[in-house]
Amino acid sequence: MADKPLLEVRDLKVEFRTGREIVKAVNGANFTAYPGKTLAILGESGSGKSVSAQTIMRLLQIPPGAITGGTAMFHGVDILKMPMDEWRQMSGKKMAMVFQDALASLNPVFTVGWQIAETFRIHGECSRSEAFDRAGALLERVGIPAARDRVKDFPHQFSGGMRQRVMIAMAVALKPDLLIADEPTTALDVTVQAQIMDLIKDISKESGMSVILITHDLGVVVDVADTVAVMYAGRVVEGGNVIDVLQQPAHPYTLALLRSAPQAREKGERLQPIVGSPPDLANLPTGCSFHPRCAFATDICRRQAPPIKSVAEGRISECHHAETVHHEPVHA
Amino acid sequence: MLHSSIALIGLIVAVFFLARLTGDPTNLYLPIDANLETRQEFAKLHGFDQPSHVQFVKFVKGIAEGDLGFSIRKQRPAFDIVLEAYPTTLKLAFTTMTLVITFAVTVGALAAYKPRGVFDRVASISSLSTASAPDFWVAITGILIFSVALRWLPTSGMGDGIEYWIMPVTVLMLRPFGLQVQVVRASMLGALSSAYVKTARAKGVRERRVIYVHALRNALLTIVTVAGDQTVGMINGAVIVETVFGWPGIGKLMVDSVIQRDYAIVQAAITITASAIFLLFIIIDLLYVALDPRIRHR
Repeated sequence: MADKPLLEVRDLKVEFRTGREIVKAVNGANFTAYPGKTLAILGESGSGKSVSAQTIMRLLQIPPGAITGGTAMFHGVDILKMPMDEWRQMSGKKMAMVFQDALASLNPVFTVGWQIAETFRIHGECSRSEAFDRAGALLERVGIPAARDRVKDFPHQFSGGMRQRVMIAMAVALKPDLLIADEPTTALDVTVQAQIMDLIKDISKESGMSVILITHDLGVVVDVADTVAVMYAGRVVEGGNVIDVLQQPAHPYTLALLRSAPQAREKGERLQPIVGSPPDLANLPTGCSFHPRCAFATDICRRQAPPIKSVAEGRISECHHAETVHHEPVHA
Repeated sequence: MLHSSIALIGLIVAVFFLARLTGDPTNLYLPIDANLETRQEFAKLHGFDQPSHVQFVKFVKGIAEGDLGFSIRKQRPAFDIVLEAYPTTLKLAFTTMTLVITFAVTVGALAAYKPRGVFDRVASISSLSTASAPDFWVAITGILIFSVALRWLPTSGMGDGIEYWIMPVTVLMLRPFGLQVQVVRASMLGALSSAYVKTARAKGVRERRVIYVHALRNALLTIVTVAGDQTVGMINGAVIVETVFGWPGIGKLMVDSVIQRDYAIVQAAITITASAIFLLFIIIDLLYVALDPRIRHR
């Protein structure tokens, strides 16, 4: 990966102040997206993956949210410190986002054509009628049947999968360099999920667009991503090439995830659930956040936060016992 | 539509019989020492000697022919008298509602934009107090301060100048304004925290456009519902405001006619008001259809 990074997020920290508690949603996350590549951010609910994405898109509600540290270098500028007016010129044009629930994410009272055309119009691309024409062409591109007639339809007149196609059309309208897709298929049927992922993959290949795919689905990661960042308790605990990470994980959490995933198992073998429950973000354990659930945990894990270790070329793991875990077979 | 028609008919029936429960008009219109013959003659002249069901049939027939009876006191067709009073009420209602919606949407949207901010707190407290202010008290206090003490505004009556409008409109606005601010604030808060607003922001839409196009267009549904209800309340006649400020509107006319047992006017006023409300409901329903595509395609 000698390429220059497109987006480089370093030591990102985000908190939510609710009442007396401070919920530390993101605790120093690092990840990098390269041009034309797909990075998957994998993690369970509350691991901070969505919050990280929304923070980068400057969609975090402040308050109750607060960015307490870190940088996000995009095209050489820290977009977290960019004035909002300047960011608006880039948002939707250089970097775009697709959300999980397409029905809720599309405005119910405007036609899909209007909503796609708006993207062109606010970025001063073209006239109203031309914007509508281009919206029709985009709908065609994302595979909506009779697209030209459907620009005048409202979101509720589309099926779930078609709505997500509309969202994608809207996001890629101005050919952004980076698309952040936040669980784009979670709300959809399995068959439709694959079609939507294929569409994202195709568009990315066609235009050289980078994708950050936020998901909790291992299968999706294997299918589309080049690199993966595994998040736990607001930190990226393991990162690297998808195949390497999933074949030889170097963090106990990744290993546990793989052992608990149905698709990774041979017939007749038992799934091994991850013991314990996700950490309380307002009250994180001392040392390594994963130690209460970890089979490899020793004294040092309870006392000291693990350093970022490089276990192989382009592979990082935040674990005191990374080397040991790295040699552990996935199918125990 | 059918529902409202049934309600309208029911109302006309109820008004007819309820008006007759208020007492015998002969006692009010004839001198206290009038003899029995005079009384009977008066009753016969106005049809009060007949059994109430016969009177009712006559009343309904009249409505069908556009004849809403004859005012005892004014000696003119009740229909004409009501129609003369109606424009005053309508003007008052629509001026007030236009101002209520304009101000409430501005204030409510700004309050929702920064919840718990200084503006939001001021807006919440003041809207709550105007929503709970008793209008007769505000009206009388207003007259005391602005007309009697300061002599800036006329005490009552309806003239050509804007000074006659200021107090009635302001007093009439208070409660609907207070309520509408709360409604706009709540529905804008909901809309602004929705996923589609996030989508709009991610597209790079400017904040002003997010608020006044994306969010407000959705909040409008609730706002129209409440504004519709409030308008209905006003074309019913702003009884207290019209009475206190001596405005010759439908509210004052109705109260006067009830006191004077001028049945024909009461009946005519209520029949016409009810029809106006019926029309307004149809307009509100059409507005819904125009505003919400999800209703259109059901």
